[in-house]
Amino acid sequence: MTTTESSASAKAAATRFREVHEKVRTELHKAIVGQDAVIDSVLTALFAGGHVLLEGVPGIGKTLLVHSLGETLDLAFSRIQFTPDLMPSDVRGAEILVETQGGGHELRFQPGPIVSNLVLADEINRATPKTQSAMLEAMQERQVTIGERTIKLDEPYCVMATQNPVEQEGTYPLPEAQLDRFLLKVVVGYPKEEEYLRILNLTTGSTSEKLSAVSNGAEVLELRQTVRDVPVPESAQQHAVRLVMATQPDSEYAPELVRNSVSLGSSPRGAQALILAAKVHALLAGRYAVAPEDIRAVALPCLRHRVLLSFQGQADGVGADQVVAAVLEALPLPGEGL
Amino acid sequence: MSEGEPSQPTELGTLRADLERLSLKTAGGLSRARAMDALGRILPRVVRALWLPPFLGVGLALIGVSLPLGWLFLGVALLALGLVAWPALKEFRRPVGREEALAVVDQRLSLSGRFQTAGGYLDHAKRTPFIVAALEDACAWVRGAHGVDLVHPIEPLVPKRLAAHGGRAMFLMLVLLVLSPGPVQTRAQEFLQEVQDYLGTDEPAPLTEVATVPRDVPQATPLDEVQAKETKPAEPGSSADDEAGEVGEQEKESKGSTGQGRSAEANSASSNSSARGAPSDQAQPSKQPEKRAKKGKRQKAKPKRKEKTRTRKTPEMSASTTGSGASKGSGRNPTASPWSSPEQAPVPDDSEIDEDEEIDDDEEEQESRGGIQPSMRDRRPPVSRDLRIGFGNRPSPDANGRGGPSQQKKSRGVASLVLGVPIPDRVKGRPGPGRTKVTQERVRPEAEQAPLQAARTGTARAHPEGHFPELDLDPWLRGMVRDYFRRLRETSSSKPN
Repeated sequence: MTTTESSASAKAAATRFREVHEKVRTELHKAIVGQDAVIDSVLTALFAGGHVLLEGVPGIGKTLLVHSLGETLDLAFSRIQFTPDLMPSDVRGAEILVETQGGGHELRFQPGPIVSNLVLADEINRATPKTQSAMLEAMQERQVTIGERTIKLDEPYCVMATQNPVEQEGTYPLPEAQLDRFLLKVVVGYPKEEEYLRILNLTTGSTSEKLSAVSNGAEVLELRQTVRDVPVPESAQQHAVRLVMATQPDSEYAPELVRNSVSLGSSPRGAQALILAAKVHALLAGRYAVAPEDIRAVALPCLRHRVLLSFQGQADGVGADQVVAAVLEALPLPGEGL
Repeated sequence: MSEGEPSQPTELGTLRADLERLSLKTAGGLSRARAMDALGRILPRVVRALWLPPFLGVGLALIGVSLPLGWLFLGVALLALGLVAWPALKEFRRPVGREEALAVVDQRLSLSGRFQTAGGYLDHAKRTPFIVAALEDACAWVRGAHGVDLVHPIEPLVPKRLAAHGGRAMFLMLVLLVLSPGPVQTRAQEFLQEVQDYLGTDEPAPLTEVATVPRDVPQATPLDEVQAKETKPAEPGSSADDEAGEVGEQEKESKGSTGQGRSAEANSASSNSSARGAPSDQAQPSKQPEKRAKKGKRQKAKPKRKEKTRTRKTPEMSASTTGSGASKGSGRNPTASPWSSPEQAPVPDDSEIDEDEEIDDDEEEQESRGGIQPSMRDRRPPVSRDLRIGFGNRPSPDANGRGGPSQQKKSRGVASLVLGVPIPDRVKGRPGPGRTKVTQERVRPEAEQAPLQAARTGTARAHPEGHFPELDLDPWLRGMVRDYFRRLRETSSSKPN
């Protein structure tokens, strides 16, 4: 294969990626009005092979988005409503006693809702930490262990969790270890004024839009491979590393706000998330390699949940978004300002 | 996707040269831009600083100090030039790498790092299809980049206002330079002129002054003079004439090389070095001048008290038995000294020495350490060991039951065996008066005579008082009270809990 042929295959894969992405996006917009950034972020996490944490007030279409994505991609979809009395066995599954044909009884494994392709963990912060931790193995190792049985989860596997920023009483904030396993944290905001009219027309009429599957799990896996093939030059890698280090208060790159208001910065998983999400961003931008601009474009959803504010930062009313913005301001693009 | 072969197509082959040319071109412009940027940063400060020399010149002229304005302005101008040129030159000579230059081009042309990526992957051994695609993508852009003039935005170095400032300052400097009165001699020049004038004369140096003050002998300090003066009135039995005569003789003696410019009397009284002998000088040779100075100050501070103390001195012990010689008995060897010297004065009883005096003595004892016997002043004859029997059951008050009287010892204890380690008595002050006894007396209380109270004469009311009108406030008073309490509540409710 000559260089021209190989570059043609790469260009074809990149083009296909953009086309599928656009198709899925268009299909989702049939059910979801507006929320372009949220849809892009969810698709980025899906094609990058990560999980998404959606945060927003009730009634803005978080659950509908995930449900619609499952229909569009023709993937197995399951939904878990997290409550304080939810047990780990309710999530992972358990061995139950069933009656056999001969009249006897045997223990049979009944998989829980976590064994699926797209898992919607609704209001994940309402479950106890014990139940939340049941998601850890599934999210990181893509497998579930119950007793001596280990079940490999089917790919593509993606957990999309939602949490409500208000009504924090009776909730259990996600531990850092679990937060770190989400590739992106997407903040879902209120729709705009013109979007309200379309929402009302779409949801209060007698007819409802039927979503069709425009892709499938196999194609999603191919597109994930395309994303992995995108090269990352050293300059972009260095920029990602410096961004992650700048969130750590003891780092030499940390700005003043980070030093004063952050007690724990991002881990190397943050840099991995930056690179993976930046690859998707580069492909969608029509490039074949990651640029530092791509890293910066995905820095906010990749890093905002990996920054743990200190007491002083909380007392000063500093938010994680402010911290990431300060980090981006402190580290300009290569070649900028010269 | 499989990795591509490391072949070099013609299109990619030209990319290296194109990127190299582009980076060189950008690097040159970048160096100039950096130098101009450094100039733009430093120039405003230098321009502002140009105001300093004229004001400095005027200010110094007002207080009567004349400076060579020409040299001053020249120095300032050279300094300003150096301050401006050095950072600019430093920035200009800073090397610009290819990657950095390509990043600048990417940034200028909004290429999202395409050239930087291509520059990084040009020498990559394993070219994946995506890397090749990225290089080809850069090829498409590099052709267009050659036509673009990469003009770096260079801001005006000095704003108009700052330039006007600088111009005014320079003008003022020039005016001052023109108005300044010719070359002005500095003090150093004046001094040099005086020295030259002095050396130019053929007259020999006055030898008399040199002979009176030998070079190797330090002149007596004012402090020593004070000490010498203080010792003079302390000499008992010496009249004013004698003193004058003695002083005259001592002055004669002090002109020798060994007298060190001081009188013998002053040496014996204020300096212990001659009486103590060699060990003390060897022990603390460097501290002697400081000690002399300290002692001089102390003597200067309390001359009256010393005189008072000396008048109280009573002959109790001879200097030979108590060891009080030339050093007032404070741990110094008894040496022969003139009878009129203060060392021959009897040492007062310890009970008569007040606390301050003891402190002084202790300090002197501290000074006298170093090869000298311990304090001999406190050595008293041992108590009488009289074994006389008292009357009846009462023992004799003088008897201590320790045997008969013995000869007096010059010193006792370990302290006498260890040379130069005096153990002075650290117990100072007087014994306390003891507990205060308070005696309470029991006294029976006595009734006092006082006039009867007038209330006892009052009687109960015989008839009702009648209608008592309800106390009502005037409207203005009621309003005032209401306003007061309302204000009070408002302030209390506005306070944070």
